[in-house]
Amino acid sequence: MKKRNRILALGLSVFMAMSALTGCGTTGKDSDSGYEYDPSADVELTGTFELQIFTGGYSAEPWEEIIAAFEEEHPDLDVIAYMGADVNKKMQTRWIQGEPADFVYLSGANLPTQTYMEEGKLVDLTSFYDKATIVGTDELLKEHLQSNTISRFNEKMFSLPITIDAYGIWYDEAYLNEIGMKLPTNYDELLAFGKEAKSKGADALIYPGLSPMYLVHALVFPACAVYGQEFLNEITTASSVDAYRSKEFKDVLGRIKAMADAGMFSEGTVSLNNIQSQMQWLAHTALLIPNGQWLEGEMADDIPDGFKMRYAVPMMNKADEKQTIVTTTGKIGVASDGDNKEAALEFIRFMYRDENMAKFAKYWNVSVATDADLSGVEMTETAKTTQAILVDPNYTQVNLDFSWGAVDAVMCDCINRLVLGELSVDNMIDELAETVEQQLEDRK
Amino acid sequence: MENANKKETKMSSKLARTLSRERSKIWFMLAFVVPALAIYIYACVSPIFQSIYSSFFKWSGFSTMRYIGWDNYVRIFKDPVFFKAIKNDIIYVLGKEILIVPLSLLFALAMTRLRLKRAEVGAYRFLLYLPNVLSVSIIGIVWAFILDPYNGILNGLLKIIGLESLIPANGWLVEYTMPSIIFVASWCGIGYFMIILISAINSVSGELYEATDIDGAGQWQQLWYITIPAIWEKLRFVITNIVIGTLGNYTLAMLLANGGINGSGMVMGLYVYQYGIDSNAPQVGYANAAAILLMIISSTIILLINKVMNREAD
Repeated sequence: MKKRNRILALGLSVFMAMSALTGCGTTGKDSDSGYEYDPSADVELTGTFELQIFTGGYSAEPWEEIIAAFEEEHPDLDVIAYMGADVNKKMQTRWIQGEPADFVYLSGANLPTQTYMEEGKLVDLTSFYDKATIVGTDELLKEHLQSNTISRFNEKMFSLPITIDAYGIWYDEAYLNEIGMKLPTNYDELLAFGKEAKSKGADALIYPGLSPMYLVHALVFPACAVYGQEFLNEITTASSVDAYRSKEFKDVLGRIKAMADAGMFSEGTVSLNNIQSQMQWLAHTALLIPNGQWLEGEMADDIPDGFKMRYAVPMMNKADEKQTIVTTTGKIGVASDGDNKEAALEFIRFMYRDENMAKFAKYWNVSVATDADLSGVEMTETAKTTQAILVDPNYTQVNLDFSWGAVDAVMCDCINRLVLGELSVDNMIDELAETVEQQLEDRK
Repeated sequence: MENANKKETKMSSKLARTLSRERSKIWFMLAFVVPALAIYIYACVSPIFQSIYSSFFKWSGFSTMRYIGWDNYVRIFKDPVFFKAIKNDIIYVLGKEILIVPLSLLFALAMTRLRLKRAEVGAYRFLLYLPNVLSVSIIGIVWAFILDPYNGILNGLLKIIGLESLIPANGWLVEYTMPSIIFVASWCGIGYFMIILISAINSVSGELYEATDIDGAGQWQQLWYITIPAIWEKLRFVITNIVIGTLGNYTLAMLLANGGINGSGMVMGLYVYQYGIDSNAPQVGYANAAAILLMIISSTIILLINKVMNREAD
């Protein structure tokens, strides 16, 4: 009996060990991002076509209409669109298993775009960009897209732009007029604005401390952009430790610190999420809020009567510096491991038709990355303001190429600590530079 | 000789029948145990070994792994946030023990020993158990608004009763991150453990209390010398369960403060989650190394607590 029990126990242990080894077989899958697009190939779209679309900030309406129109033109194709605020998280296991959706809107949380690009999980669209035409026309895609919206990673194009928007400083024009305050147009005026707001018993700025990227996008990046596109790129791609240790970056952080020391940020702002901060701003707890262009749509049901929501370019430039607008592009990509890349590419050709791009402008109140004529599109005042700014020569337009990986989490924590007065500029630079150094080392 | 042989044959056939019955019993038990054990090993045990294996690799979770030896562990030990997470987890456990154990015992005693009406007991039980039927996401959202620094109910109440000076300028979740998380987590747990202790107290013989009543013992003496010794095993269960349920749990810490400022609300489970899943650049190998260390630290703490409590029981 004892011998049998020993044999049983030994057998179970071996079984456990072996099952562990079978578990070790799941070690990930390498992907090939290479793709040579053949415009002359006669593509018959069949099978299933899956889309992964984040709809957290901007609405799903343009996507729904474009997908419906595409389905009509391709009745043999089974189109499945996964949409939602947490779609990226839900689809993550499929990316790990090597079975992602075919088409992906590269936006939203839990989407490690940089990792996807580094590991070849997104198709290199360079040849597609060079050779593809818009559906129903002879117009080449590359002539249709605005060239300053194209971004490359390691000299490859893993994404294509669809929309252009810009973080800005939002304010209630009616309330500022009521209390007799003028919107600042540069950094010095912004500091004076902060002092005046305090004297009137209001806070100048509020932001969601639980998502401090809003502040980084609306204040830090525009301040970096004052030093030019190349400097901004070095910061936002974390490609240079020297950029982080430069006097320019120290000056950028110094501007934020000066605002914090002047008490411009609302007390308690660091503990707020985005909805809480936006609700407080609507209630005039603070006069200004850094946010994206989706703010108008996101808070549409909560805007009080008489509130005139307006957008302004961040005023982080000093009086003798040109005001800079930092644009971000909404991007789309095609998964290398997707089963129906052909359908994804056909969908992209279809999407870029003017009437489809106009849907993004109409529902999202943003500019589009093509030369589509938007004059007939009904847009809000703020959207028209942004459109006008994008073509205004008095502003420098700088495009954000954002792929700084692990620096993201460190920057978010450090900016909050800087605002709270718990971190000095020099220590913040040290923490960021060390992270950049480690990341560059890891990438080797 | 013949009789001896007959006796021997009788004994061996008896032994054979006994062995045959034993064998049948074992096969019968194995038929039920093996499938469940196989699923358990596949779903629960195998991932542990896979985590140990992948912790020695640089791996994003998407593409193939690259062997880097002990580098992940070395990096973890150089990260001050990891040590903050360990410290916060220990504080989290201690805080919950200090709040949940006495309060759940107090409420359980009130339900059983105060001779309340049945309807009253039912109502109190429902209210105290309510947090256990709500999803953690809802609890996190509700408490984030209660603790809101601008319009939160808590600050409003403090202002009404003239304790405005207690309100932290930057909000409860920034200046008192761990205490806020501990408070909310304890609020969630009291009801569940109270129910367990109610059933334990109800199983104590009423005659013991009657006998001590006759001897003139007071409520405190009855509590100390009868109730607590009688329900000690259940109390041990509550204490151990709080430890097991807290170490590695990160949901509330994430919902309320998302790690807090400079790791003030970071706990080990959240550290693993943020590196492995919730990151722009996932580092699954690194996160698995942290998870293995979490497992070792948690097991050590639980074993120590069990040892101390066994000694106390003796």
